[in-house]
Amino acid sequence: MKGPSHRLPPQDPTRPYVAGRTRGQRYALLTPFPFQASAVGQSDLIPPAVPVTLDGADPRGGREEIENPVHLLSGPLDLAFFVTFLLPLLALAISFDLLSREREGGTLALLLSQPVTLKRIVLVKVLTRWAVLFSLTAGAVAVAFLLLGAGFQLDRFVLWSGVVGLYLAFWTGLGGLVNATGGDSSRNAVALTFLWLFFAILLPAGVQITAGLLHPIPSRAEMVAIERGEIQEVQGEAEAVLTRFYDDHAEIMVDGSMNEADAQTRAFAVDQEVARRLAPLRARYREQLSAQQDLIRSMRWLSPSILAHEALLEVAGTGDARRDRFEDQVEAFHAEWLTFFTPRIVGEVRLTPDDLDLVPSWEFENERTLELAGGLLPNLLGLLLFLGLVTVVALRLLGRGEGRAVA
Amino acid sequence: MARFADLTAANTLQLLVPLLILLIAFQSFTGERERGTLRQLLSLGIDPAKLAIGKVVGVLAALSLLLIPAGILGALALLGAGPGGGGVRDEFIRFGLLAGVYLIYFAAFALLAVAVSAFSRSSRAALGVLLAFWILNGLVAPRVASDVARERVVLPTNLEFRSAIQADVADGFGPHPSRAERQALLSDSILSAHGVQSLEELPINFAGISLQAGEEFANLVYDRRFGELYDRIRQQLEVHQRLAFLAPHLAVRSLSMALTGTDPEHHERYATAAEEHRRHIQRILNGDIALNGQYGQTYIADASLWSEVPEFSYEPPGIGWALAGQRTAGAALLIWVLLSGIIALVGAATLPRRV
Repeated sequence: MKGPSHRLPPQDPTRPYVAGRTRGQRYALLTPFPFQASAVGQSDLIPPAVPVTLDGADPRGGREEIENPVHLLSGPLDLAFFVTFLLPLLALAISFDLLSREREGGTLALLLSQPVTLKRIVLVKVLTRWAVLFSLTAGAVAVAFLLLGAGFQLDRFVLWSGVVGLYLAFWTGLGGLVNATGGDSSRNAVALTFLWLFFAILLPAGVQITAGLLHPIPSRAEMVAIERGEIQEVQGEAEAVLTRFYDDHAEIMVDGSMNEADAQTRAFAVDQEVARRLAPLRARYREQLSAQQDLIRSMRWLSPSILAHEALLEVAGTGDARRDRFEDQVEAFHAEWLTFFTPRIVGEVRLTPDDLDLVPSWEFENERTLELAGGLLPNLLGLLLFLGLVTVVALRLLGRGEGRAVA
Repeated sequence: MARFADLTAANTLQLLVPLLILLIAFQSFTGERERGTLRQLLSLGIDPAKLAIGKVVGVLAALSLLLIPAGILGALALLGAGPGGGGVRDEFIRFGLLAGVYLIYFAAFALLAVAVSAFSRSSRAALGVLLAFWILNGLVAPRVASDVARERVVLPTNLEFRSAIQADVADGFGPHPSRAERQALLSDSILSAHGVQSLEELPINFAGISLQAGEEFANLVYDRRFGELYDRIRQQLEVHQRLAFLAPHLAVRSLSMALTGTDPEHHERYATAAEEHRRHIQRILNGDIALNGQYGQTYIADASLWSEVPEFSYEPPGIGWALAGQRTAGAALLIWVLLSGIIALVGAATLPRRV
């Protein structure tokens, strides 16, 4: 006895194989939100919509948007870029001569004749500079988001401000530290430029290069070649595969249908066998991809710029953590998809309008604020550590230089 | 992070070396003034212009300590890597031209730094101005240029692009009729050409003919749509080159990509050649189906068919082709170095009055 869908034309969308594979496919969407505007991250390279079909749900399989490759090369001018690379320069520009200017202008002696220590002077100067830059930056961003009218997300803004505040404090503190060494303005400027270069560019580049050398990205072309080999092998043993498939699904099979199996049911059986064989290969490929990512993440402690940049991307929802979360949910949704369609394909059930309500629907579960904050904790602590280090060293230098300050 | 902090040879030469130049040269005149030696120098009757040139030469000489070994290493690496498709001579001419481009860029930076130093009241001011320029030129300009180019020349979205191709194939475009009509016209013409009434009676397999006709029409559509797309990308890159008059970094980036063969232009040429090869394979395969297949039946060819397919060979373009689209960038770079030179000389000339 053949099932009801057997007699339908091959491309009829009420055939479960057709519905699940081409005509009824769903898209898994990584839903955007307003604060995402603050950091583009990789979102211009990796599409946020993944087609989910019987064949699979490849996170990189979504259609990429058309873009000029040279534009992708330089990256976008987003807020995260500004905060990570340019804001420190601004901080250094206003702090590089906070003490040396007084000394060169002769006013330091005057200041110290008051009942105030050198430490106090530098501390106040650093704090005021930090306060000015921080309030201007945070204020401008808050106003921008309010003007955008798309929705002001207070929780994310607060977390963002925390990251920016700590990061900025590190840099203004660094300005104070270099001044505490007692050099002249020009020397301070050169020293701070080198420090910026070191923390913001050289260290991150070094980390990137090291991770790339230790965990090179596996060749996608090689992967495709291996997959093709598996597919051919499976197609060669199509009969055996079909038998095994029907054995596995005996309880939902339509009587006596194996020998007269629909072409589509056969194709489905072959597809599933191929997917089963490729699963370990694909898992290993994904592992290799994430190995590089993981290594970079473990080396982020080397530079406050890496810590800050990663945190900014997470708050904007364009970082790796949210992406991983999305890909896990896509995989789960794909499993649901297969669970819905497999018995209907094997049983050759014809889909009805009522089934539309039963077809799995995609709902992305965003992380909650507490989870986000928890994820940011290591970065915030790291930034705090750097800040602490700078403060300790600076205070030490200032304490020792007390006597020499006027010279 | 990766896109900015990617420390490639190009990034190092385009971003870090200019920074180095700035840091060496920002005190050229302001330092002398602050140390009090400027007055002495000028009182010796030295022509300020010669002084400025001397400072620039000094900066470049200091730089050459770093760049000459690097250049030699680069040349050796090139030799070691073996000849590219265009031959060793072509490679070395490109290498030489690239070195020339960078030299002009570094000279412009050195002149600019000395000029700013001559005009500035203090070393601090000079450094500030030069750093600001470095940031705007090297970090901000490429990104702003992308935004401007995107506004000026709009690329279609993926959906628009693919829908347009699908529509062209299904409904035809211009003088070309819809798919249904094309198929009808084709079968009619083949039937009448062979003087038979039905496709089964043909001495050849209609499937092969029909497949090839479909291929060729699709090729027409792809050529049209992709041609449009690549033209727009080219126009966007021309916008970048024009903006190079404001930020020389854009000129150097454009020229270095063209000379090393890593720009979209080179890629498009290669992709087109690969596509041509694919089409050649299709012609062979479809031709075989038409000749040896039976209409309505599955046809499996043997291995000898595959031996008819030639190997893919690609001849990389010469330098003339590579640089053809770089005139604006080249002009911008030359104007920058000239302007910097003029400003440096003018700045030096004002020195005696502001010792």
